[in-house]
Amino acid sequence: MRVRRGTAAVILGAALLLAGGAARAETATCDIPIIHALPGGSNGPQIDPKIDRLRSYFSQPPFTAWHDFKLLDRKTLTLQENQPVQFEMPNSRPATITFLGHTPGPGEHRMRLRLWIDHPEKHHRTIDTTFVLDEGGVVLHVGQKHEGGVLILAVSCKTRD
Amino acid sequence: MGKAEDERLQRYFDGELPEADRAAVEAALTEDDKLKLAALGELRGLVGNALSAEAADIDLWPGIEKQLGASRNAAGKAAAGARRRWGLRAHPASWSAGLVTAAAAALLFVVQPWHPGHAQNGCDIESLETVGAVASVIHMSDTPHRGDESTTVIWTTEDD
Repeated sequence: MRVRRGTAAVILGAALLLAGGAARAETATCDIPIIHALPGGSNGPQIDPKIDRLRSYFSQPPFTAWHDFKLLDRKTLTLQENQPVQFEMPNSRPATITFLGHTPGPGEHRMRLRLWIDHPEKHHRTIDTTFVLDEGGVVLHVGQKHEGGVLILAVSCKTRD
Repeated sequence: MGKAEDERLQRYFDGELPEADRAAVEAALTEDDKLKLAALGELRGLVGNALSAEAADIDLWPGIEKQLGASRNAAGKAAAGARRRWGLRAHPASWSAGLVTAAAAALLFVVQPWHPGHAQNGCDIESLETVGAVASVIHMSDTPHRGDESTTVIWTTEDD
């Protein structure tokens, strides 16, 4: 009888721990504008007003290699912790992003994210990266070729308003 | 820019122009126009948030007043000017909504969103693997903002 009660207590404790873990699983919202950078004239860069937040970067090297920066698409994704979410790039390649949770430590709320982009025709993964950044911070990924220019992904996520 | 052009830009911002006119406005957008559009977007967000907060019976004014400080009078004049110029409409039945709108415009004057917010990140790259491409990681400083912030760029160059 005593053993049975002990076993029940252990099971209950495990269930509570699991429930607590599930309750702590977080959701992140990611905003990923996808920008098409194209070569152009010799005057100043033409930057879509919808991406004005990035103007200061696109106005300096190495981005000055391009002239026009147009917002092609914008993905707003809700990510459950550790559950990959796939979206299609304008060049038809699948990109996948995963919210891996928060990192411990002082200072800003910091998030771990993993991004990879597959190349279906060549059957390989062009890029696979894991990074940590501040809540609401931006990481730019540049380099996917598309219609005479390149694609720029500006990845920004947060778990709170 | 003349009054007619201002009104056209305002109608563009409000989504009131037909598709052909929208395309024409977009083709003729100057840097100044883009900054105005960005400022209008910020103003709309501020006013919307302020009115929502008012509906929720939250008194924003003390906090806003504290931030405004000495620039309050000048900002109020700027807000009035902006309202005349852009034809902004306050809530018709609420004097306090007008006050909140003026406060939002005053805050706009202080924050100056036409000097756009800048991306930053504090990013650490934990791993980076590529196939058929070469990758570089660049930390860029935010030069127009005195270089006190930076963002991270993962730059890949694919093999042909």
